[in-house]
Amino acid sequence: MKTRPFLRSVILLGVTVAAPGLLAEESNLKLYGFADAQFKKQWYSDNNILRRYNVAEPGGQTYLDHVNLYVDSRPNSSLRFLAEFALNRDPAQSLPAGLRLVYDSAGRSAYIPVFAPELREKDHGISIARAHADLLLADEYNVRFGKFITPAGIWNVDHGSPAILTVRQPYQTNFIPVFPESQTGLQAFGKTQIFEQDLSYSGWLSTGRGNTSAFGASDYGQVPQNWDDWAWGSHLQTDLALPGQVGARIGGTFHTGTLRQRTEWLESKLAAAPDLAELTTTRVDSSYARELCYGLDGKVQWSGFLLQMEWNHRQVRNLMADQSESNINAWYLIVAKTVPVHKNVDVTPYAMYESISWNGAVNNQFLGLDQTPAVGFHAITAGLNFGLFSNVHVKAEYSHQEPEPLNLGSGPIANNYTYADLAIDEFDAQLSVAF
Amino acid sequence: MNKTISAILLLAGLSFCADWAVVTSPSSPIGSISKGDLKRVFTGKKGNVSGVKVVPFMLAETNPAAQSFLKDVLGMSPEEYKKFWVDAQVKGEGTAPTTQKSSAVAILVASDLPGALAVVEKSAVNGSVKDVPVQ
Repeated sequence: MKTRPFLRSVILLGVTVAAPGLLAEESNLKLYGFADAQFKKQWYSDNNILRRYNVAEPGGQTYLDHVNLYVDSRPNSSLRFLAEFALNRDPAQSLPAGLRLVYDSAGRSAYIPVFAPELREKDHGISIARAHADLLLADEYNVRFGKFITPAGIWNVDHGSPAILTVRQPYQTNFIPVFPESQTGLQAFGKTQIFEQDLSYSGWLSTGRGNTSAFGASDYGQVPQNWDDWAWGSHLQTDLALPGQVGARIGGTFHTGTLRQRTEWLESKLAAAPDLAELTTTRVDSSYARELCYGLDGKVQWSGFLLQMEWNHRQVRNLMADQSESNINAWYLIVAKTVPVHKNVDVTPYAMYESISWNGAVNNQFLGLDQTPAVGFHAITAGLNFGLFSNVHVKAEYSHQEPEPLNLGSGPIANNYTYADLAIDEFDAQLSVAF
Repeated sequence: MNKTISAILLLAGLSFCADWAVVTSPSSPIGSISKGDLKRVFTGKKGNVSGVKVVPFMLAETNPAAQSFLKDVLGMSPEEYKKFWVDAQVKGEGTAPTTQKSSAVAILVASDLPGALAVVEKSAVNGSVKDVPVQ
C-alpha cells in the first residue's frame, strides 16, 4: 500500500512531462501552424484593368504563399494568449511614421509628417495576423484584447488554407475586403444554448480600418483622432443541429467606423538668419468618411454535401461632401460534396460563383474605385480538393473572372471595353499542410 | 407502437452501453451530462459544466473505446475528428483535448481533477473516479 502514492506520483510526473499542460492550472504552450505553396497561371488580354491591382499576373508562377505559425499559451484556465505570425507572399508591409518631402504644382516643397504608416508591398515579409489576450470568464462572456481577426462571416475567420476549400478565397474577403480583415481593440464574445441549439456572439470596439483604399487589406488600424473615429460592430451566429444529421449555420455581422486620412503641413519661410525661420503648421483631413458594413452568412451540411454563401455590403459616406455614398455589394455561393476514397483520402469537387459590384465610386475617391473602368466583376470557379490524412490538402481549380465594364462614351478616357476584353482565365494548384 | 418506441429506446440505449465511459473526480460537482453538452465539450464549444471549468481528455484514436465515443457522441470518425481540430486551430478556436495513452492514466489524472472529463474504457472504471452518466 505504501508504494501506491509513490507510483501515483511517478505516473503523474511522467504524464505531466509527456503532455505539458495536462492539468488545468498548468502552464500550457502549443506551437502549430500551416504552410502552402501555389502554382498560378493566368490568361488575359493586354488591356485588362485587373493588371494594375496585381490580380492579374503575367505567366505561370510557382511560389511559397504562406507559412503561418501560431503561438498558443494558456497559463491557467482563465487566460489564453494567441499570436499568429504570418510569412506572407504579399504582406501589408508598413513603414514607420516620419517626414516625407513633397512638392506642389508651383514647385514649392513641404514636409508632410506621416502619422499613420503607409502600405508597401514586397515579396515575402512577416506580419502579425493576430495577437491577443483572452480573459476566459465563462462560456457566455469572455473578453479579448489586442489585434484580432474580425469575426465577420465565414471565410474571413477561416483564413488559413487548410480550412479553406478553394485555392483562392472569395475576393470580398481579401482583394476588396468588405469588412476589415483584422482590428485592434477590445472584443467581448461568448456562446450559449437555446433549445439545444448553439448561439454565439461577439462585439468589438476597435481603432478601425487603417487602409482607406477599397483594395487590399491593411495590417494596421487607423489612429483615432476623437471618439467618433473608434469603430464598433458585432457578429451573431446560430449553429443548428437539425434532424437527419443536417448541420446548419446562420450568421449576421455589422461594423461601422470612420476612414480618416490626416496630414499635417509644416511650412518654413526662410528668413535672413536660420534661427529666425518662421514655421507654420496646418493640419487637414484629406479624406474623412464613415463606413457601414453589413453581412449575412449561411451554411448547410449533410451527408458530405456543403452549401455555403455570404452576402456582404459596404456603404461609405463622405463626411466632407454631404455624406455622398459609395456602395460595394458582394456575395458568393459555393456547393461541394466530399467523397471518401480511402481511410485517409477524400476528394471534394466544388463550384463557386462570386459577384462584386459598386456604385457611387466618384463620391469617395480615396477608395480608388473610380480609377477602374468597371463597376464590378464576377467569377466562376470549379475545382477539386484532395484531403490526405488530416493535415494535407492538394487543390486544383479553374476560374473565369469577368469585370463588368464601365463604358465611357467620349473624352480622353473613352473606352468601349467588353466583358471579353477584361476577362481572366486562371488555373491554380495548391499544396497545403497543417503542422 | 409502444413496442416500436421501446425498440428505438433500446437501440438508443445500446449505443450508450458501448465500451466507453466518461469519468471525473469523485469531488466534482458534475453529476451527469447531456450528449449535446458532451459533444460541445469535446469540440471546444463549451468550457463550463455544472459551474466548473472542464478539462476534457481523450484516448488515443487507435483505442476502440475512443472510436466508439467519437462515433456515438460526435458522429465522427477518428480522421474526421483530427481534421475538425486542424480546422479549429487554423481558425484560432483552440487545440484538441489532450490524448491519454491508456484508460489507467486517464483515470489517474481524472481522479485528482474536479474539472476533468476523461473518456476511458468502460471496463477500466474503478472506485477512484466518478462515472458520469450521459443522458
